[in-house]
Amino acid sequence: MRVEVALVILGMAAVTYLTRAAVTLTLRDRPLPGTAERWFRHVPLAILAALAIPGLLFTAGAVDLPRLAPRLAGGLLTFWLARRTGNLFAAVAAGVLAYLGALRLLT
Amino acid sequence: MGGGGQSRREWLHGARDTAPLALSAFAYAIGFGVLARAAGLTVAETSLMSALVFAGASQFAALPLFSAAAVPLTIIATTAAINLRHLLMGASLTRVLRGVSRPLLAAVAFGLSDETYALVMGRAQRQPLSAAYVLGSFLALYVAWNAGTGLGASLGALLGPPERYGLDFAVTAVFIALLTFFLEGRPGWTVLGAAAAISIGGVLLLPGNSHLIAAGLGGSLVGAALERG
Repeated sequence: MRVEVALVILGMAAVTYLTRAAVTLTLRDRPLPGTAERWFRHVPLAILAALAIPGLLFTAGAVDLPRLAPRLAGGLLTFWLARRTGNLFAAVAAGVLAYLGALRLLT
Repeated sequence: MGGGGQSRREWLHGARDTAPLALSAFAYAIGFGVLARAAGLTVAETSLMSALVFAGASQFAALPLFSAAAVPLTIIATTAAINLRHLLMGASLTRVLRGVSRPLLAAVAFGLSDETYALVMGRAQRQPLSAAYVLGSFLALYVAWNAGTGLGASLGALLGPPERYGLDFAVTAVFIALLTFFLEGRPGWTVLGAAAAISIGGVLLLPGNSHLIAAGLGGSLVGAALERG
């Protein structure tokens, strides 16, 4: 192992841990002001949307036309099943199968 | 951490719920291992990065920088920028882990990732969250990521791209299913719409992964504003 590469990796690890721990540890057990409480309550949904929606439309920053319809089919089925049944695993499994099926049909 | 048996059950439960995400992370880690070798890192260096950094997007982003022999500060700053979204996630995760001791929280923080954050917040939406469940989930993903990295770095490109098995879409499907657990009433749909619009604009206009921060901030602030008025 090269020392300079190991040092860069240690630096990467340090800044990454800082982003993970800074807020987690400082906010521990401290009651949040009402405004922050209302704000943070919506963070998970906003981040999930930001992870999911671009994942449906884009690959590496560009619209993925060949896979757009299969992804939308799989995504809509997953959304509908998850909302109806609350069963995460079944919704994801059905969505992936629909995606693979549509991909095979269309390409 | 509560009674031994109960706590062990929670660990296992967390790990079990993470299985589909771990499988996908395993496949992507193989890809990371293969690409890291191609970028000129050794097996030991590749494994060290997955063991200590444990943040997929930033590890992938570092590879072209390593192969271009970028200055260390550039690589480290890029890593920090990509992982800034953890600040927001940490703020909401700590809300549902009240009363957890500081050392345990320090361990939880190390394992924080997009996938498992989404999973444990989804569970917290339905029942009280234990530190044991979170650690079980995070550990399952950590083991899968590191096992996959080691395999990919050692064996190379024998297994083919994870896209072949639909695993690229599986992760998106998990995010979609999880977001339905948070989707309640008009504020929920508005937050979803705002975050979706900002993230689409962000992917097209902003560098790297910053659409996650932009949409996370923008969407949640819209939600907070709605509740006040």
